[in-house]
Amino acid sequence: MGYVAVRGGLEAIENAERLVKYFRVKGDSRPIEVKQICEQFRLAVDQVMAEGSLYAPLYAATALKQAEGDTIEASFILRALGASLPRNHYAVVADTREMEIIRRISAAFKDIPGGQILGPTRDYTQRLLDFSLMDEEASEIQKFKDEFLTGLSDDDPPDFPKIVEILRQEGLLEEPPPKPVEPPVDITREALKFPAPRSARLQVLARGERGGMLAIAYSSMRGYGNIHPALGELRVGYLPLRIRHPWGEGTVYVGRVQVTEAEVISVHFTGEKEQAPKFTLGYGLCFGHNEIKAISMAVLDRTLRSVQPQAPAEDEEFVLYHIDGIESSGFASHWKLPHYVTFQSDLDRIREARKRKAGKDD
Amino acid sequence: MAIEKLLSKARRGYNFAFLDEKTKREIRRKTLKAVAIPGYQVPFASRELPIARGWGTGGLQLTMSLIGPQDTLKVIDQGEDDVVNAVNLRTLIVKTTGVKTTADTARATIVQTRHRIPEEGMREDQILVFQVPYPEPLRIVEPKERETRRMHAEIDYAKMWVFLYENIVKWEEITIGSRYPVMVEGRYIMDPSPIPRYDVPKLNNARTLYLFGAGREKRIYAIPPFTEVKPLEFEDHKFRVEDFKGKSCQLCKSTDTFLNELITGDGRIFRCSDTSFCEKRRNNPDTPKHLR
Amino acid sequence: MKEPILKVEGLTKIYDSTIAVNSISFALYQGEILGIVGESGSGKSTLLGCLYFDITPTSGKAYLNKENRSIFELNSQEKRKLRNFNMGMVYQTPHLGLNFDITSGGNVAEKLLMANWRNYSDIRKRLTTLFERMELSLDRMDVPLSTLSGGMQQRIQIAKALANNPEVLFLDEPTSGLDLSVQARLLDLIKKIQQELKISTILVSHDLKVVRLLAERVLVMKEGRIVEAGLTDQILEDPQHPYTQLLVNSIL
Repeated sequence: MGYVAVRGGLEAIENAERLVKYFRVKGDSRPIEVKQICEQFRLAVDQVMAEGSLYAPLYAATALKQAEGDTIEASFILRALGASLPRNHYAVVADTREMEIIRRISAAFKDIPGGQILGPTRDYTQRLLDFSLMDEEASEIQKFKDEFLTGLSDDDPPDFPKIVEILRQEGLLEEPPPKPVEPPVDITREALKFPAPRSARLQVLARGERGGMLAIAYSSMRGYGNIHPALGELRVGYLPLRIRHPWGEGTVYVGRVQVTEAEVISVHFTGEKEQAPKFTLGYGLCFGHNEIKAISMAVLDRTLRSVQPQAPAEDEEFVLYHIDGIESSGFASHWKLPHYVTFQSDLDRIREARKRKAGKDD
Repeated sequence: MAIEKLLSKARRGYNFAFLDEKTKREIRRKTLKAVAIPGYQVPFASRELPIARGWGTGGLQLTMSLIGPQDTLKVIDQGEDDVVNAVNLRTLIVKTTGVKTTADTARATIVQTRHRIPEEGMREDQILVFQVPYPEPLRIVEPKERETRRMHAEIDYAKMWVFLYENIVKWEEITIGSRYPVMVEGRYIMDPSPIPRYDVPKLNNARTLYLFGAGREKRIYAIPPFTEVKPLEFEDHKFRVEDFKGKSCQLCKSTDTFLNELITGDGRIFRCSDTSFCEKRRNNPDTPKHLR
Repeated sequence: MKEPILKVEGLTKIYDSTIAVNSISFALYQGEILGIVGESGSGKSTLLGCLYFDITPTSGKAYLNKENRSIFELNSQEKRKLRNFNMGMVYQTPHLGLNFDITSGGNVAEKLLMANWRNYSDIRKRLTTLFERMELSLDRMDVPLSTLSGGMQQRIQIAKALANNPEVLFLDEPTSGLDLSVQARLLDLIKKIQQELKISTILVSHDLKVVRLLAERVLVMKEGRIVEAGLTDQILEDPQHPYTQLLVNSIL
């Protein structure tokens, strides 16, 4: 069975498919349940939903199972699924002040109204391999849950005013961008054009591949750029979504999605001559609990608004064209396809050029 | 909702030709615009397909938006029907449409191709869909999309010509192997997709509608039938196709087809890149290439 | 009486709150060199930039060659064509006008290719003529532009500007980035070529000495306006405006 079998391609594909399946199930453990992935690989599911740009935890978990845990492959499967579905409604602009918060911190101020809510974070834990997880007992888990859940208060969570609003009231922060037009530009229905409207830019960032975004955002934080971020506020929680009533007045609640929101203040301030300088803001928001991605997105949102772009992270085309995981991984893997017709053309050219040079040297 | 219920919903079938009808209509509208402005790259949103970006998603979206139950489909990669990539794309289309397929160019209504134009001349009632990795021919001289779109708008093609000029200064001829840039109706420079130079003359004044789809780069463009398409060349440094002088196909003995070089234990042999045409020639050595 | 080849009427360029060019009108006559002199910030380079379409003017008109449509009313495709076929520009530094990623000959060839030259040997012949005229050694033609000295790069810019025998030539401080000795030789060369080819030329400079050497007529600009205009000799002999007097005194 060759790489480019002259005949029998179909058989080759079928065999490869069977092999993939075999490699996925060849161990003697029980098949992993989608529900288990959904509940216990929470962050992987979140990453796949964000990059697959489809909020569907069960489908994302199924995709992860199908992809043997490869998040790019899984988000690709999820995106393809999304593309096969009609787009029936656009949500109205959501207000993140309505979020039900599970975590909320500010790195800019020690004491903030509503308080710093650490929530489920590994930030202040030691990353020591927990050998006890190698054989975790269901009874032990049950005991932990019983203990943990007793005595939790049922009080409504307090109000959490936005930190950036406080800065804005003091006049230290630029005014918020105008309220987006509805319906927004939809990058899944219209190709990007440059300069890209901010709504399009934020959409590309929201579904960008975390590693790619992190690398470019990091280059800016580290020195290839001039942004100097400070984390104004980071929120994780559930955001209610509404659509316009299909025939009546007003809006209809359609459900809630978990999101991570980051507001990054650039302390590199701007201002026209004779005006007081102000801080500027970068904004990040993505599906699920994914803090690195939300922060990277906020940094990139800010770098892309540089008046005189110099560093790669400030170049709109460079950033927006290269952070999509589905596009970049697809193209990187396409080099595995045969290229022998084009290579034949190149062979012809180099032989001809060599012939000419050789003829000349004689 | 119970997990079981959700999962069973997920297993339900897809729409005819995978994409939803609104999406297909949008792609057809963009295709019409492309046909109306030969060689101009029309931006389109480009959906994700279950095939990876860079593996033919542009061509697939065109095919999916055009195909109907009565169509007969041929899919080739490198000129061949049975290589894995062609089989994979064809399987997806057949799985979601149930259309008939063929390897015979003459019998197909839609041919989707990567890197080749079939040897056999195609007719007015057929469509040839090209898969395109790089729709922008000016990308080799200008990385910025904003700038290349301006260059097209103003017919500002000097940078491209300087590239060709410098090629000749350095190598005494133009060194572009495949993806040879062409001028469409004297207006737009166009990337013909990575077909060999051998296939470039077939673009000119052709009977068939040629559609080009770039999925990752989100562009559709077209060469309508009977459009003038000329490779970029200097009056005294003419465009030249690949040279197969003195070589013939080991299987069908053809001397007038694009040949692939195969490395065997005892040297090199050559075989037709278009395998179905090769088979026709083996059965009937006088099978002509051209319709006229 | 000579015909004007370029007529400018009420050309204005406003940046935010600054008026860089304030309703300027003048004519350039067939075959002459018109000098525009003024300190940096006087608007003279902005004026030239507008005429070469690098800058979009706020208002005003300009007519080339008795056309009855202002060149600013053309669409971007027509503007580019005019720029490629009928105009030549030499910027203050080579970096503004040349591509450092290609050969020096390629830079000049670019202008020919822009004007649809499609015969390689004709292009090479034309390059040879231009290199000889600019007193550039022919073995510099196919080397990267970056390997040439600043003075030679500036000669490449001039060769590029002259490549299509343009109707009008714009020189924006063509020698001010160069050493004095290199400057003098280049000025001589420009003068010689202009006398040979009789190309209608606008020369912008902050240096009255350069203008005196080349231009028959001169416009003096200050803060976006023309404060004085006339024959170069006349203005040097008998400057009227206090600013012109200051300029003249500073070179004597």
